[in-house]
Amino acid sequence: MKLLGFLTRETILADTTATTRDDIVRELVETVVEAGGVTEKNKGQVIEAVLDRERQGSTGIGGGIALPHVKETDLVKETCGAFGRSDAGVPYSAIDGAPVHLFFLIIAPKGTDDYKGILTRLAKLSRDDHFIRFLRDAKDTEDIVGVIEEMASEVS
Amino acid sequence: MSEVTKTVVLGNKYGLHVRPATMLAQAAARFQSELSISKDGVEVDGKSVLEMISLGAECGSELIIRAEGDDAAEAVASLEELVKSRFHEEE
Repeated sequence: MKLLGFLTRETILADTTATTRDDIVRELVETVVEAGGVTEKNKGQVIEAVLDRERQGSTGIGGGIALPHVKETDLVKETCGAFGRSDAGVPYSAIDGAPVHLFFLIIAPKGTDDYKGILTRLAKLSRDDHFIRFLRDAKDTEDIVGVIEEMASEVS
Repeated sequence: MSEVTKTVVLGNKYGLHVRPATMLAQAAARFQSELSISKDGVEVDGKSVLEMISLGAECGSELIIRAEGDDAAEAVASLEELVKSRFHEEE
C-alpha cells in the first residue's frame, strides 16, 4: 500500500543536498528508479518530461512546497513518486519567490485518474500548517513516514 | 468597497489542478481585493494555489468567484475570463 497513493518508504529523501531545480528533479526520479517505479531505460525521458512541465510554469505553489509531476504518461505502468526535503531550500521560481523545502514528485500513467485524487488529498493535508511543520521537523525518513501515515488517515 | 460574485462552470479537462490554480492565483495577486473561490459551500483563498487545489474541483464543477474591494469587479472579470478560456488548455 503506497503512502498517499504514490509514495513508499524507499522514495522518501529526508535530506537532499540538491541546489538546483534540475538536480532535485533528477535526484527524485532516480530514487523512484531505485525503488522500481520507473525503469532504468525510461529514466532520462521521465526526468525530461518533469522538467518540460516545469519549464511551462513552475510547480512551486508557495509556502516552500513544489509538486513536480507528469501525468498521462506511457513511461510508467503504475502511479508512483517521491518526496524530497531540503533544509537549505532550492530556488524553484515558486509563485511566492521563496525557496522550496518540500518536494512531492508524482508520476501518473495514462488511463488512470489517480492523479486528481492524490493532488486533492495532498493539498488538503498541506494547507494544514502542522503537517508542513511536522514534515520540516521530522528527524529522519522513519519520522517522515510516521507523520504522513498519521496525518493522511485524518484526510479523505 | 464593493463586493462582486460570479458563478462559473469549470470546463477544462482536468479541473482545478496545479496549472489552472497557479494561473488563478497569479491573476488574483494583481488585484487589491480579497478574492475567494468556493465550491459546494467550501470557500478558500483565491490567492492560494494549495487551497484552490484542495477543493478537488473537476470538470463540470460550479465555482463561485467572490471579490471584496475597490477593484472587485475587475478582479472577478479577470478570473472568470481565465475559467472561461479553459486556462488555454489543449484538449
